Amino acid sequence: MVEQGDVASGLVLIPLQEKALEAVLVSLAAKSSAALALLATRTGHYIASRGSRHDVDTAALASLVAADLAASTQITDLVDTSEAHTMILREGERYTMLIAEAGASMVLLVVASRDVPLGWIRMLVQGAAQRMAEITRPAPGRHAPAMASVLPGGEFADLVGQAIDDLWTD
Amino acid sequence: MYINYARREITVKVVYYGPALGGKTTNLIQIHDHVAGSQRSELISLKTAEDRTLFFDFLELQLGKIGGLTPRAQLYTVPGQARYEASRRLVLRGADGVVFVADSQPDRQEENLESWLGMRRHLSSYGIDSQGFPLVVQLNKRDLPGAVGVDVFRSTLSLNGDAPLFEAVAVDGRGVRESLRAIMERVVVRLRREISASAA
Repeated sequence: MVEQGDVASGLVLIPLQEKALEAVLVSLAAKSSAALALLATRTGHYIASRGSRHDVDTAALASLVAADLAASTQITDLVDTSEAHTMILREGERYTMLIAEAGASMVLLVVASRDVPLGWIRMLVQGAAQRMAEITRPAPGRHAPAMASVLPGGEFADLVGQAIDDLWTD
Repeated sequence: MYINYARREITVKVVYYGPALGGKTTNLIQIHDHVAGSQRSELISLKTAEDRTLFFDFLELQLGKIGGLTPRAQLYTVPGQARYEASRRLVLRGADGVVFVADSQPDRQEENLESWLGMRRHLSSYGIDSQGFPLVVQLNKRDLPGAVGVDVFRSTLSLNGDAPLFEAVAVDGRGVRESLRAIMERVVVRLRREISASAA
């Protein structure tokens, strides 16, 4: 199914949605004292993050979080326990890590100290994921701006090709 | 793909697909080694103890500012070994383009074909018709003795004459940049077409 606001299978965020998502993320990070709260698309594209950890490769992390959720969802399908609203929990010595679906298009990661009660984090993550899903849910009258007007014309593909050549060093 | 209007960012996903030991990971290693650290992420590899790809390899490229936009390319490989069929399908999810990395050795042609058909099957399961989908074929290991002819290879995969095909020796970097450039150009052309269609 192609959702409104999507181009093919992708996620398109308009400024209003991005602001609303960031507000939820900020609130989640503050309430859970998260070392990291990260939002990515289900296909592994980084959207935003908050928290005290600033030394992580967010692009790589987003791809791994999406993959983790995808693999976990596939595992539940294979053992015939298919359920909606998947949440993955990892309990380490120092950190608790939760990965949760945030609607059909996004995935949320929260890393918090083991000192923070698990039930509290779980409740916060569930609430945040639900609000994020609502923010990106197709709504009548919510239209993306005309990206076609900001995308350069036919030469854009050539410029991207040139950019690849320019990146290359021998 | 992911589009953020406020930041004028476009991120696309390209998957390197193909049979086991065909050179998919080698492509990403070469790209990693030829792009400055400031314009790429680290290369992430989820691999087995035997150094074979278990789930995927990942590398992000930042292409700088182009026409006021900030395009990024996320490159993934799939695990080639037969047993990882389910993982291959997962990695293909949301792909905006595919580089199919084939092996030139004559005794690997059956595996090329199996992988090719598997890829088309998985794309189809996501509602993607591989006709018109951005796809580039890289015929790798051209330096090996007895490498199959390009025409024979095209015939094996039933590729028509228009399908972009690049001969490569990925381990030396030959054909790697050309394949990447070609797939990115095709992805962008399709992106513009889809955006125009969705705006209409």
